[in-house]
Amino acid sequence: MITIVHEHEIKAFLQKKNLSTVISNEVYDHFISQILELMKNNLSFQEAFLKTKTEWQFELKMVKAYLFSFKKIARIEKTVLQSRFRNIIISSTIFTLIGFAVLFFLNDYFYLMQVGLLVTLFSLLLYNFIFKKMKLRECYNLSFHPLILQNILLELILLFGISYFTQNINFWDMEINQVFLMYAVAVQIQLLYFRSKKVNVLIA
Amino acid sequence: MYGYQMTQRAKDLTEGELEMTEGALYPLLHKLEGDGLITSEIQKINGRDRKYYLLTEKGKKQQAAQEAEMKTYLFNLNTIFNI
Repeated sequence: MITIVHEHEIKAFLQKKNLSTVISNEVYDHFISQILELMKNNLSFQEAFLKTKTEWQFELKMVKAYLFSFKKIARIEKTVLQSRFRNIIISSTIFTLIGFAVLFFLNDYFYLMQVGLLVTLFSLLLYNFIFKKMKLRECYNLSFHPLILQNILLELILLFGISYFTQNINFWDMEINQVFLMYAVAVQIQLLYFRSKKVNVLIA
Repeated sequence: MYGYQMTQRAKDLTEGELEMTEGALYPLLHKLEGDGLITSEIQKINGRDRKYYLLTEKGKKQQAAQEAEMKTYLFNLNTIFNI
């Protein structure tokens, strides 16, 4: 039998792991079920709790949130978020490659593609503000999130590389930059979409 | 089914041979949910939220395809080693 004190002990342990509400609720239910099962084999609460904690040690270990981050999060949280962010990066890259193809083969439509992206971005922003899915501060935090900045930094390095090898000094005027800008906007659109669905993609 | 139930079911069906790493299951479930292969619903059980996962139509099709693929693979392996 698990008492309220025991429940508080489990909650306090999980709170230290800074898990998002969705994952925390799920892990909490799992902990209770696992502990109850272990207690059926004549184990005390403390013994069962310790055994459960040991079995979860790897997934609940605090690790670096991102490559250049001092923030630590539980490994389970990182794995879930990384998987979602990876999907965003993949779809944005595919979209950027389509952008490249349009730029080189159907140049007239490239402008339309850019306008379409910007309209989608502003529509999503408006939707999130009108239906109170997001506050202005959250929008600011989303735009300057360390992971987004890390991506922009990588993009800048890539741009410098391209301009160096193509010997184009005035690289900011290169049409190709617009394609990279498309990539950044595509990432932003998806982040806003997930935000409107209340799905965590980035660590707050 | 909910997370803990899945780990226990896998253990029971394989008579303890397959022991899933408890925490490794959830990132996988969230990924499948993100891919639209499963869906979830939360129910209150003894005052706490329990998340139940269900296969979507897309998930059922994927499961049938992978099951058929696995059966063919096992059949081929069996044929090779029974020679």
